[in-house]
Amino acid sequence: MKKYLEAMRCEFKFHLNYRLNLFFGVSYHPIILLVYYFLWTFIYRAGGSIGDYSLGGMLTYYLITGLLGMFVPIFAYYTMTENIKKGDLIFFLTRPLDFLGYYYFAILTGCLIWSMSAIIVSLPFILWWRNILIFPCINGMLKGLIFTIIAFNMALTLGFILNLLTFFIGDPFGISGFYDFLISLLGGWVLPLDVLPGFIQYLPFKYLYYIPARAFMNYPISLTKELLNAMLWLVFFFAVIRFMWIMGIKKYEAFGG
Amino acid sequence: MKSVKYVVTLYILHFKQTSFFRLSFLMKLLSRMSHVLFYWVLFEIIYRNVQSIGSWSKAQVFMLLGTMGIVLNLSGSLMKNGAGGISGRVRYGYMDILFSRPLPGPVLLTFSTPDIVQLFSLILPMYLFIHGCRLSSIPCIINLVFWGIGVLLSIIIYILFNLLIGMVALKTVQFSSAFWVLEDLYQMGRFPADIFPIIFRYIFLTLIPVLTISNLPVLVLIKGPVYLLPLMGITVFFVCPNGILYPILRKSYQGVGTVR
Repeated sequence: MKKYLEAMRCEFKFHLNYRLNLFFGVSYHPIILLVYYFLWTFIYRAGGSIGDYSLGGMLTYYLITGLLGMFVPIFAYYTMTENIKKGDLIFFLTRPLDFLGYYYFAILTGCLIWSMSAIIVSLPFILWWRNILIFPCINGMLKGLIFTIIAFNMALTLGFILNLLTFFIGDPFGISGFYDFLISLLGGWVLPLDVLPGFIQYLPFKYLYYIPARAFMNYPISLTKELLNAMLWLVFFFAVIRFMWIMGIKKYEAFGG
Repeated sequence: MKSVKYVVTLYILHFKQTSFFRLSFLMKLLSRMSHVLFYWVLFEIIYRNVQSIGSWSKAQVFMLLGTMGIVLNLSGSLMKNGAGGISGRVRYGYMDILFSRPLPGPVLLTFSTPDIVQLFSLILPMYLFIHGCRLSSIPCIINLVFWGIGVLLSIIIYILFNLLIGMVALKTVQFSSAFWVLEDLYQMGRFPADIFPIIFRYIFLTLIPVLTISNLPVLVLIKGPVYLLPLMGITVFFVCPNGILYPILRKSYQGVGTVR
């Protein structure tokens, strides 16, 4: 465990070396929040509405999903793909350091730092919208945190699967834009899933943004059912990762010297 | 003429290079198109619940999304990371290679990294634009021609504005993060200008022309060629600082590394 803690420490130091970049990197969050604020205010003032969401509900939803967007690592790290492609994976295979374990802790640290930066840049918005935002009660906060942990793990497993595809098809990041679009749409980042066709709710992606956001907003969710479902999906994804790893290592040939 | 020949040759070479990676090409194509898909879905759902956003009907917003996609993809296919990559080139001393060529520096800075994938990904925004036109009523041919001129001016504005920001790196070296913010700001152009308060509208129509390059060509199409005038004005507005700043910043550039 000590070596993984060291990986976390290195990652922490690495990110804090480029502090200004960190804030520029989360610039999308305040910009899109501002645009959504103008868009939804304009629509709601003109008498429009989306689903059963109030203006405050809509803004709270986008604020939370925006923050989750900084915390859930749907791509994991591209360096995983690079390590496999360039043969650097052998450094992990010949040392007592698990490749996926190392990246799990490194990515966790990175995501914590990114989401902290996003929270800091969100503070002015939270203060500005304090009268219309829906703040979580203690129960909602607890549920939200549990589902956020699930969201992180689910996103990471998807990211691992994407990176492990390198064993079989070369660099899978060419499709990253489309993958991002699919996850954003099916996960509820574009719009709350209850205003989209119902079949999307049967997919696992709702646990990335939609369910945690609803939990934080104190909206009703069936806790036991959703937790059980999410766990089953996580077990399934872990099994897929394990299978890909075993198959990938079998056919893996490093080159170079 | 020499510059045009250079850009065309680069394009052809890049096309040849890309054709070696067919699967990668298809995957990138899909990825590039997803930016348009994202906002298409968003507005499709919004318009199921509202009749219009300000004075913008669903058809007009589709035209807007199509136009913005065309402007961004065409500009991106010409310059990809040209201006955004200046910072990296300064840092590693690659600018000397560009400055020692017998072509104007700004042309080399802008067009040295074309991206053929973005040219092919024009299909979706063009389809969306045509779909928008068909949903309203087919606009008159003259306005369509003026829209084309508007798109051309928007591309020039986009390139000039990016170059202006990118050139700062000749002095400051590290400036690539400004492009991250700029990329995010360009997403605003996919929304109708009506939703923004007046002060934001002024800023994003003049100083940071993210609304200009998308909204004005569509207004040319809907309301007539009078909206070409501000587009021309803003083009001139960005030509001047580029012309003045480039020689100054060019002089302040110092190469790093060794002479090859």
